[in-house]
Amino acid sequence: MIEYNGANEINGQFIIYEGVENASFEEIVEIRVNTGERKSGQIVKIDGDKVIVQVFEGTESISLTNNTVKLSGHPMEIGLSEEILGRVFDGAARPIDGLGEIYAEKKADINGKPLNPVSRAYPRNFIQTGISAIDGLTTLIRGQKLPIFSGNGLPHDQLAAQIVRQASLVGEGGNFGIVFAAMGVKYDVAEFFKKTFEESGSL
Amino acid sequence: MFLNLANDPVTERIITPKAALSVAEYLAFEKGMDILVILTDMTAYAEALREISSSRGEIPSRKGYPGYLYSELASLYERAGIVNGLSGSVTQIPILTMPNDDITHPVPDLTGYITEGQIVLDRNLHAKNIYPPVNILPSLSRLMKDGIGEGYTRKDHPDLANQLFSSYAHVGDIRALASVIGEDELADLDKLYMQFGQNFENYYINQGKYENRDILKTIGQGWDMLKIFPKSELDRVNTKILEEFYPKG
Repeated sequence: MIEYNGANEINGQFIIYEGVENASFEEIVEIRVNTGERKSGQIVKIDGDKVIVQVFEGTESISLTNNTVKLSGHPMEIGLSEEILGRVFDGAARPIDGLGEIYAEKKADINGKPLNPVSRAYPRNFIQTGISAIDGLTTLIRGQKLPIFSGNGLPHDQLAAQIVRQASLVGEGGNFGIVFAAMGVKYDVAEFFKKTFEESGSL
Repeated sequence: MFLNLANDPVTERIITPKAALSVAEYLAFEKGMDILVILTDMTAYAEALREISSSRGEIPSRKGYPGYLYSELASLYERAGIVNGLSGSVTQIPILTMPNDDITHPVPDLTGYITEGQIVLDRNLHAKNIYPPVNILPSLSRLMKDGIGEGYTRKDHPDLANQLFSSYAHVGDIRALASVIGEDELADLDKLYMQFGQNFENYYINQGKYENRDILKTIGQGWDMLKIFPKSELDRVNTKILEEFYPKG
């Protein structure tokens, strides 16, 4: 594995390296800064032997000369196993609940495998949310994608939490699981959901 | 549970939903679980895309969002579904906040193209202290017709839902009329509609945060709302079903 020393240009969250060979688009790279810090980034643009790397953790403490970059040879991956149930991760899938790393049974590309459209089954079974306005008039079906359009200050979080507490498939036991992803939410909203999941026993 | 807070890096924010959906797909299609994915807040995700896109110097499209916002959203939303021959499923409930309650904003607009319906929350209902403030008129579940009725819920459910929609839509017209000529001048039937509108909001839509109504209770409640009208006014319900389920007495 080749490491490249020194950057050509740093601009905001991007670093430009020159003379990089065999880089591929969306590849994950590891950046070692000589202060001992390790950062990760993703290749977002390739022009000849020039690559632009987007650094996830930000480019503070990186200068043009104090870092080396190593290509990983694969796109962003996430380690998967059933241990993931009940755990809390940060936005880049690193555990933040202090219970240690996940022992991964397999790794998967986070962009997912495209689903063969022919193998899709038509969604049918009804999911009971216990909320009249949804069950009676805008029924949620297993396998459906049904967004909630809300506005600032409206109780969409409470509604989502209630759906989490009450959702069940009628007629079958099934094992129901919840995956929750918060993007750019405030701390109190995250705490609210954490508390809800603890109450409902899903965390 | 994946948490990217408001003060976490923006670049991580665009990874968060992808990582969460990978986990959901793994649990659903390899472990056979029925997974419900909640993504909040899609507007913040789109804003993160916009920030990164403009710092890359890409040409902006509507409201500064990149032109590929649609395909980015689609690549997330389309990761829901059921696969033939596998027992698990991925169901998604993305939450998005409409800036300025504007449903034509690029994020809700493009989301609406991809998803199978939407549940719209309404500020006026919220102001009336109704929870959940679901405005049913613009709300829609496109797959509903295939998952309700005989064999799924109860055979009168589809007709009942149509009738409630239609009667509540008429309430809107009557309310507009009442605001011009005054409530006292309304015809007797129209006064019934005013009453129905209020009952419907207060007793059907409105419910407790810890109240879990099962589907039969929801359907029963629907009929209770409609029984204020004479049978002749319920023109969306099949006559046989009306005879069988219209509350007696």
